[in-house]
Amino acid sequence: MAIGRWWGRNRKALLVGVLFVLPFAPLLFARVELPRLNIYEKIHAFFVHPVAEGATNALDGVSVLWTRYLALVGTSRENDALKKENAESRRRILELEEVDRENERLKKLVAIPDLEKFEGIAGRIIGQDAAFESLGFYLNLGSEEGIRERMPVVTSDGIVGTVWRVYRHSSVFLALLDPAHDVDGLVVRSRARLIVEGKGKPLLARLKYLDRSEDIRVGDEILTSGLDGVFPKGLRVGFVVKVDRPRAGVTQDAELRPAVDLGRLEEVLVLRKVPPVSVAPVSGAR
Amino acid sequence: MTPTQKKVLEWPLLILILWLSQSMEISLLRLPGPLGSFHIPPVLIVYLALTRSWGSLTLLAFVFSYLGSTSVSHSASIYIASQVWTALATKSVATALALEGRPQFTMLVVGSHIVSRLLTHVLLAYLGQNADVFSFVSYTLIGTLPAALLGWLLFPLFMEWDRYFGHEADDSRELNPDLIR
Repeated sequence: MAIGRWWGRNRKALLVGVLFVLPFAPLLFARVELPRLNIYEKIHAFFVHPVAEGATNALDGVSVLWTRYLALVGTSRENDALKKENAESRRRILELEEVDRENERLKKLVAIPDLEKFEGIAGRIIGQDAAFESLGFYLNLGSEEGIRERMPVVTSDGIVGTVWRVYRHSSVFLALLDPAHDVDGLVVRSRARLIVEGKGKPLLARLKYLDRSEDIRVGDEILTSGLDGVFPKGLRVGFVVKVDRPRAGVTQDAELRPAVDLGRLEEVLVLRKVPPVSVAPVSGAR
Repeated sequence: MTPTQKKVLEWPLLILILWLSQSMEISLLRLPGPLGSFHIPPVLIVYLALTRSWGSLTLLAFVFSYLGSTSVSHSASIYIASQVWTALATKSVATALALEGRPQFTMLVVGSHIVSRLLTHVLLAYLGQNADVFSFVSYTLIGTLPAALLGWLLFPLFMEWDRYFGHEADDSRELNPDLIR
């Protein structure tokens, strides 16, 4: 009787309490590795991503019309500068080809196995994550084009991110600045190893697990170390812009500005591993 | 169109509109610089908080946040949990202060944006994926602008939708729908 009266008085408050506890239910799955792509996600990608691609292309069309036909001021001057730059680049390529040939000869002599080789699949950015908390980009390449999860995404300036979700004709990659994205890197000057982790939307990433005794300075260039099993060795990650050595502790903190401007991404390359070819040592080599 | 036909049509039409809006929010509706994009499901959930009962709000918030989770890259579980909690908190505030009308709705959208960002930040910290505090505060404040604009623009459309599909008659609203202008 008393319980009935108590229930009658508090029924609404209890129901509201239960409603506030309900959102804990999805959190139980936050750390569980469920099969990533459920049917709804596949259907959603099938309908939504082509429309997003069409919208991005239409917007780019307007932008091209403006930049190529309506705003040609300074094009001639720019053309002259590019011709000079092109000539210098050709000279540099010839030099590097010679270095490459010499390198191949030396590798055969000492029988060093080849580093993993990658080939690039060019793709276009068709959209960007709607949330503030993450930094994902939508790409017009999917499993049909040979894209798989955890493939590295790069531009000519450096690394951009890692493929995270793959649909049939589209995919999502997490950018270098996303807090869930890590890259194993090394300092070019001192060869110190570190982890580059995203900080969210700001233009900087943080450098983790950097031993206090390591020599690192503002302006140092960071490359990929090739030890994370995702990125090939030697790709540019960015430049150190801040170093902070706390009074206590065994590590030091540093911040990095990525080499790639993520605000201006349009086309990227997704790198795919080429099956290795074994190198036989030259007979008589020591 | 008969009420039965409208009932049959409503959900497919709603999903179609959501997909179209999601296509736009990841491509065309992106704002310059750090302003982010116009993300529609959270604004819709705030409208539901104003106009639906506690039970149907919880159910609809789960459904719409699940549908909206496909256009964010962080954990879908965290996105859904934070949106549902925000919906319930928004309803508490709206009920306690008897908030109704377009300006109040816009303010609620801004408030719920801040609450959902705070919840997401805390929950992502649980996974060890949170951005730094400066980033969180600055982008939360910047993000109130597109949220407010979207709230202001969408409120009459939501009301028109409810009127067309006859939800005023269906739902036992806790607020007076006649005062919502």
